Amino acid sequence: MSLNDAFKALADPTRRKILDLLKDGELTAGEIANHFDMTKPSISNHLGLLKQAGLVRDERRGQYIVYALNTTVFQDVMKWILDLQNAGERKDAR
Amino acid sequence: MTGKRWIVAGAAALAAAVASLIFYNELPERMAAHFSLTDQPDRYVHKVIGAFLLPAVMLLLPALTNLNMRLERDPSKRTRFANVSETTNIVLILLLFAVHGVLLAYNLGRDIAAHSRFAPVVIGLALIAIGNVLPRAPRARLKLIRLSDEQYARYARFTGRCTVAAGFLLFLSALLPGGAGAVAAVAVVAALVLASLGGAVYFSRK
Repeated sequence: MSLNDAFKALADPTRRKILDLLKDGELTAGEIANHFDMTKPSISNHLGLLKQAGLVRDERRGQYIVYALNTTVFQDVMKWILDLQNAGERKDAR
Repeated sequence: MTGKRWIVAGAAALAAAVASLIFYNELPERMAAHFSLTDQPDRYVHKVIGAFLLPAVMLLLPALTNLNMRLERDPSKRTRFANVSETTNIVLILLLFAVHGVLLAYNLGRDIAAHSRFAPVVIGLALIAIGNVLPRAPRARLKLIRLSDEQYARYARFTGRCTVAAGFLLFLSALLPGGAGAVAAVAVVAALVLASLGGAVYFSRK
């Protein structure tokens, strides 16, 4: 759970979008995957990296594993800055 | 994790108690223990209390944390509580250690003219560190306001952000001259309390 792990995890827009989805509440991997045009193993891989960085936590509930946001305030700020930077780059590319 | 908590608390309490013992004979019978907004001491305690109360509190903190953790039956919440309390305990112990050092120095007659700057700086730093991890805190067993798990998660995130912001503002209030700094610091703490209470009511209705 180092700062480097958090930076690496937050650098990817898909992983930042997963964090945005989890802001509204806990979700299963399947529910998260429904929001992306990607295979479920790819989403699982992203979730694994987010969990390793300590940005999400998982909990088994029956046959499902639910994911919840586990970011600190500074990690939220870090994500917000990367979102802004990404938005700026997209604007420049147009 | 529990071991680390005790090591930090034990080392800080021991260092603080040893410092008190070394200077014990030089301390006044009635030690200044609290200061007004104008930097004048407004509360005195017997020197035994002044010298050894804070080291005892430093040891009491991890004990209370362990007790609280044992009361939590949900293993997942217990793990989350352990992770968050590791940070909060260390921050609070360092805060108490710094306060103890300043109290000893003041009562030994050292020139601590800037102690009105000391409080907003150390409390500001403590609020920043504690507020940062608040969004990760599980709901306490003692529920003062009824909130669902999702409402609580949003409330904890909101309170964490407010606490970090208050910490920064409190830190900056140390830069203001005398009276203005004290008024700003009180206003920041009052705003934080109001935001936390208001937030609980707001999120309980969402």
